[in-house]
Amino acid sequence: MVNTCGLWGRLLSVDLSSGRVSTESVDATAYRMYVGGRGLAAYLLWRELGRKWREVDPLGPENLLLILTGPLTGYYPGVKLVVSGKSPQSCGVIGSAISSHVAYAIKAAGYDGIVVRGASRDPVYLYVRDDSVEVRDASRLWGLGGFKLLEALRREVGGDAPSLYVGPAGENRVRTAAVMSRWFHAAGYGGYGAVMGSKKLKAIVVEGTGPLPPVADRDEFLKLRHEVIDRVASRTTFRMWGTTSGIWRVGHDTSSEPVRNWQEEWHDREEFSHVVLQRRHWVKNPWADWGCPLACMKVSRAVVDGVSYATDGPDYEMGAYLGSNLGLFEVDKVVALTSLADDLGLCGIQTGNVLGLAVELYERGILTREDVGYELAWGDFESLKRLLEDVAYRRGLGSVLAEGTYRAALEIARRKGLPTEDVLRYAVQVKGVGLGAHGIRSRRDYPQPIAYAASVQCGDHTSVAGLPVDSEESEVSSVFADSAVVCMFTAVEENTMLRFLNAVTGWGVTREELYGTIGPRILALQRILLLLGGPDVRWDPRVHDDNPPRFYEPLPSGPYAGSSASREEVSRSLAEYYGQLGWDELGVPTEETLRRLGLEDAVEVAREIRRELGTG
Amino acid sequence: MFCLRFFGNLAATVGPTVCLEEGECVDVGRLVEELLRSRGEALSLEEVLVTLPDGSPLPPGTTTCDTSEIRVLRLLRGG
Repeated sequence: MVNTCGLWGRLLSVDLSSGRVSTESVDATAYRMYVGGRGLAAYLLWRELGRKWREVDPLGPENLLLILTGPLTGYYPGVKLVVSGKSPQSCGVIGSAISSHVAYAIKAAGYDGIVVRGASRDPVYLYVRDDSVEVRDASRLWGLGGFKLLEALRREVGGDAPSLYVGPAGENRVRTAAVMSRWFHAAGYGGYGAVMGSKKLKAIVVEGTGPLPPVADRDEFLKLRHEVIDRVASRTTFRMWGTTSGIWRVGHDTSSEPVRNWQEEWHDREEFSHVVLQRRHWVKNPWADWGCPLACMKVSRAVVDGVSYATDGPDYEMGAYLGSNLGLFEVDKVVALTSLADDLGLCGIQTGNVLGLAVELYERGILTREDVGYELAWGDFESLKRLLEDVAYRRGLGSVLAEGTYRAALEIARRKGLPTEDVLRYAVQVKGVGLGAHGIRSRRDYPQPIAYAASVQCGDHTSVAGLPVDSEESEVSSVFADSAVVCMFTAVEENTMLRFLNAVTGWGVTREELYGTIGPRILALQRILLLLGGPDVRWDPRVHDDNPPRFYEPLPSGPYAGSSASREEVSRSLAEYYGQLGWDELGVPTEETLRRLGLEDAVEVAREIRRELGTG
Repeated sequence: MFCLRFFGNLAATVGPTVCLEEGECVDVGRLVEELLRSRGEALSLEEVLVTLPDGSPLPPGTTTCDTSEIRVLRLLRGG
C-alpha cells in the first residue's frame, strides 16, 4: 500500500490473453511525480512500452487500456476518470476524461484504476465487485448499441451497476470510437473505444462497496469541499444552459464554431440555439451525475421521421460537430445524429470532423457518388445519418472514414492519385486528432494560435497549449485537471484546487512545483511518446506542429471576416513555448530539462529523436 | 490606480494590463463585467476567473478600494 492519502496505491490488472487477474502496486514516489490519471498513464505506458513504443500497434494486444482515477476522484465535486493507452489516432498518449459513476466505484472497490492487457479471443466483459473480479462471456452483448447494452447489462448483473462500454464502432476498431458510459458520456479523444474493441472487451462493470481511502486533513478537506460546492452551485447560468448555449454563442458571438467543415466559423441561425432546444426538446434540466453540484447536463428527446431519439444537451461540441459543421441547423435532427453517435459508440467530435471532410470532398468533386454509394450534401440528414452508420460498421467509404480524418485524407488522396496535400488541406486535424469545436481565427474564443499545434494531445480542445506556460493558460492546467482527475467545469482557481489536493493527499504541492516540475514532466513524457509515434505515423515537428491549413484562410463571414491565423505569429509563439518548457527549437525536451524533471531514462530516446530529425 | 491583468487571448484583445482611475470604491466584479463588455468580449462573470495578484480567490464584495490589482482569466476552457 502506498504511504499517502486519497489513493490506494494499487491497480487492478487484467490480462485478457491469459485470463489472469491480479493487482499491482504503484509506489508513492510515482504518484507524487505523476499525480494520477493522465500523468500516471504517461508514466505506466512509458515504463512498460517505452522501449518498443514505435512497434506497438495501438490496436494490437500489446497495447494497454488504462482506466485511471486520480487522488481527487470521489472527493472533489463531480466524478471523472481518465481512459488512456497508446492512441490509435495520434500514436502518442492521450488522457481522455469521461464523467462516469465508474470512477467512484473503482475507488470504492479498493483500486486506483484498472489496467487491461492482452486481448481476448471471444467477446468478454469485466465484472468487478470489490475483490471479486470475473472475466465474463459477452457473446450475447456483442453488437449491441449503448441503449440496448445497458438494458442487457442491467439484467446480467441485476441492477444499474456503473459501467464503461463500447458500441459497434469500438467493436469494429473504428479509430473515432469512444469509450462510453451511461448512454451519453464519452471518452472520445484518443480513439480508445477502438482499443477496447480490439481487446474484445465489450464492457467494464464495477461495483464498489467500501469506503474511500482516508484523507490527510479531514477538517480542511470538508471546509474546502463545502466552499467549492457553494461556489460551483452558484454558477446558475451554466447550470441552466450547460455548454449547449455555445451552439449559438460560439457561432454568433465569438465566431469560432465549425460551419461546413470549418469553411466558416460564424452563423446567425437563430433556430439553431439552446433556447430552441430548451423549448422543444429538453425533457430534463438540470441533470447531473453522481456528486456533481453543477448539474450542467440536460436530456433531450426528438422524434424524426417517426423515430424517437434521446441524448444529452446536445452539448456544445455535439451541436457544433453533428450540426453546424455538417451544415445541419435543425436541432431535432442534431439531437437524432447525436443520439445515434452515442448509441453506436462514436466520438461525436472526431466523427463529425471526418464526416465534414467527406461532405466537402464530395462538394469539391474529389469524392463522387460512385465512391460513397449515394449523394452527400450539407445538412442532408438522411445521407449524414447513413454515412455515420457506415463509419460505425465500416461499410464502403465508411471504412476509410473510420480511420479518422488524417488517415482517411491520406487514403482518399492515394485512391484518387492526388498529392496528399490536395486532400489534407481540407482535413481539420492536428497529428491525427480532429480539432475540438473552438477555432482560433477570430481570437475571441479561448484557444491561442498555438493551442492545437503545440498540444501533446493534438486536437483536444480540453487540453490546449498556451503562453505563458506558468499560468492557467498553459497546458499544465489541463494536465493538473486530468491527473488529479477533476471536471474542468467544477474547477475553481488553482490556489484552492491545490489546497484541495493537499488536504486530500498531504503532499504539500505548491503552484511553483505544479508549473515548474510536475506539469512539465508529464508534458515532456507525452511529447516524447508523441514524437516516437509509430507504427503507421511519425510526426515531424517542422511539418506537424502546425495548424490545419484551413486556419490560415481568412474567415469569410461574420464580424471577424478577414481574420486568420498568422504563420509568423504561430512560428514565433511555438519557439517561445518550446523555450519556456525547456524544449529545443523543434520541441524535443532537452537533456538538461529531462534530467531536471527526473526523466533521466528518457534522455537517450530524446537524443535518438533529435538525431532522426537531423538536429542532434 | 486600479489595474486588471489579462491573460491569453483576453490579453490579446483587451490588452495585457488595463489600469483605471476610480474616484470611488467600485465593486470589482461589476467593473470586470463592464470592461469586458465595452471591449466586445461576450463573457459573464461565470466564465472568467478573477483572482488577487497571488492567485487566491477574490472575496465576495471586493471593491477597488480593497485591492489595487486583479488577474482575469477565462475559466471555461472547453465544452
